[in-house]
Amino acid sequence: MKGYMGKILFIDLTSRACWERALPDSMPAALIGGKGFGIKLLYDLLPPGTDPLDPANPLIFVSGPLTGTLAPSMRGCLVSKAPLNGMFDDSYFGGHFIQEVKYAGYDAIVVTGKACSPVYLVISDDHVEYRDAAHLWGLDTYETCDSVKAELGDATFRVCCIGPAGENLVKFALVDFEPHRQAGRGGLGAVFGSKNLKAVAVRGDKGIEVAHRESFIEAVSQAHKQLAESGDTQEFAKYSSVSLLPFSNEFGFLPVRNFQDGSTSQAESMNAAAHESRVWMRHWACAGCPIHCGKMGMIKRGPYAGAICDNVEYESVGLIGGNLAVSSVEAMAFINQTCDKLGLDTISTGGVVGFAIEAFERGLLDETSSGGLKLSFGDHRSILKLIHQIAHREGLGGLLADGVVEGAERLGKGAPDFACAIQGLETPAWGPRGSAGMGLAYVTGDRGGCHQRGFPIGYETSGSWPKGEMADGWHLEGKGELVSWEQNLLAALYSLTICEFGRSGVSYDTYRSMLAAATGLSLSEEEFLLVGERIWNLIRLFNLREGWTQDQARVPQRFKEALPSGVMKGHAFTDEDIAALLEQYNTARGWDDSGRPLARTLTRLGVDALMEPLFEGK
Amino acid sequence: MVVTVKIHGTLKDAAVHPSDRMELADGATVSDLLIAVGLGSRVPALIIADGRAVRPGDRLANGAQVSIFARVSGG
Repeated sequence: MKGYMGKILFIDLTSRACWERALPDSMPAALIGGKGFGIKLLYDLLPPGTDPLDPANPLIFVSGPLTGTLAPSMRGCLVSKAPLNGMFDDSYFGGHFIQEVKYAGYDAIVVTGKACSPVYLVISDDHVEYRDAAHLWGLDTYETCDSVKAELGDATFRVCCIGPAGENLVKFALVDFEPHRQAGRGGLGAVFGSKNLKAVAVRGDKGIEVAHRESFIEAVSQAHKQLAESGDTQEFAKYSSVSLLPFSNEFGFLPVRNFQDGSTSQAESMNAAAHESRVWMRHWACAGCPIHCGKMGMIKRGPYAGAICDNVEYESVGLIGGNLAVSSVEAMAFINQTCDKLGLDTISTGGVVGFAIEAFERGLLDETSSGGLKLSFGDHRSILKLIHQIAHREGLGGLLADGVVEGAERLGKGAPDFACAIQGLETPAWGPRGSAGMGLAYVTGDRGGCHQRGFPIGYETSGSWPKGEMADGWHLEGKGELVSWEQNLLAALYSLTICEFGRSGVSYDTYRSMLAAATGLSLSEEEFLLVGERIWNLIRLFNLREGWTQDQARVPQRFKEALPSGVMKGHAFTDEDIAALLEQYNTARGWDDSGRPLARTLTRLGVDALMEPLFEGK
Repeated sequence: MVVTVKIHGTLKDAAVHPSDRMELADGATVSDLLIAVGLGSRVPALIIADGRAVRPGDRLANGAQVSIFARVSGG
């Protein structure tokens, strides 16, 4: 089918074998690509119950049918079983890497096994080469990328790699994709590390054919027009995602001091205008994206002066800035860059460090247990030292490197009450108090409590959604239908590997038009949503198979306490709320009371047929 | 009557009168306020008055605290 390359590359690091497999004919119409292909491959290839750090856990780089074409603002998808919480994980990344995967001739690359010593992979069209990476082990992500590119002597290669955190199997280690883009959530960098895989470089010369050239150009032009005319896009272009800060701060959704509060008086000094005037110097963009939300800059004053850095996204401003009470944009930018270089997810890092500081303030940790560190909110110097400890599993870092849930359980003494994670994933920069929809999205998220698997806050605060009026955030009614609908929609869009920021401008109709023109797959709105629902159900089956139960759909005590400030002041997210919301949600989905899809639901969605294995390990 | 206004993001750049305090005729609507601050031709993503979402035709109360946001999508 046009739009696809028609092949999947398999690489086994243990035997150093590699082989190709034709893309099964049934997959594009049933699953589209991206997230859909990722779950199908993971479901088939992962032996049930496999530990995420076992060599048998596959790393799956997967594209969509529009990736690498003229369609704007497309990303790549990295899929595996997450070290952090043992769930399905699909982590999306920008940059230029995934486009080269397609130009090399593949819709997906699957890496299994474990090399006997550190290696990096070089994929050039049909040729796969293993190179020794012993000399790269220990380097940070920036140094690794530069070294690999220098050794290859060919600037057309695109590189992804891990830093020390991935090598040390930190469970929230990221994979860095040049330049300055990351597959951040769930700890997929640790899967790299567990395989002794330091980096992957890829390039290719193949073109991508589309089914209907003229209508494709027309649909792409429409997408560009919508991006150019979108107020949201203009906001991203000028101020990046950090422009969300005033909104979250006013409502009380912002994490402040380990989610002890939801608003801060320091927001003005942390906002986009402060970053723009004090750090940013120029815009940059991922492949084929007119938005250019990336900002390169330089820290010009203070102890970190001279550091060249990119922008701090809203989530990182929330978790490093608000959650750690670091209000200096320079310190924030430097901490953000340090995490990127060490290979640590900034959301989880901000979560575990905020937890550690509160534990220190409560006397659960002291200078002896912290390796001499005196931790306090706002002290960026001690925060930086702790982040280095985490990446190297040294000192207190050993307690925190397995995530806030495991760290809190090991610490005991009531610590789990303020360990802010839902389904094992450290909570993003949108507290659930005052947004029942967001809370429901967190407790039902397919990779854990994630803001990118449903963002009902926008519908709740505006009072409307595409099917009519929507109740205020603190009301429960209608939220089951809202969240399941948005999860289905996002699953369908992520099968195209869209960028979240691109979809703020491009309409869903235009995405479907581009898909139809590129591939010949003409899906109605209903059929498109059905693909998303099918994918969501298949992922639920995978998570159940791997041990997930609805008991994990709970929140820490911190979120059950009333929010102290902001528009949502006084609201909490309680066990009673969760029980009522899950009842709505499971009914809307056609699942039983324990969150297990009913047989008739699986039949309606055609999931039964997808359970038959298409892939097996060699 | 007097309302307090906070304009955020690129809308602040576009506003002709990005003042924190605006005097409006009694019974003024959200739409009147948008025109007064020079945002009559822009469609904000969200307008909040005293903690609740409001629409252009809604009347504002004397002393209302209004926030105008350009974007509220996730990220």
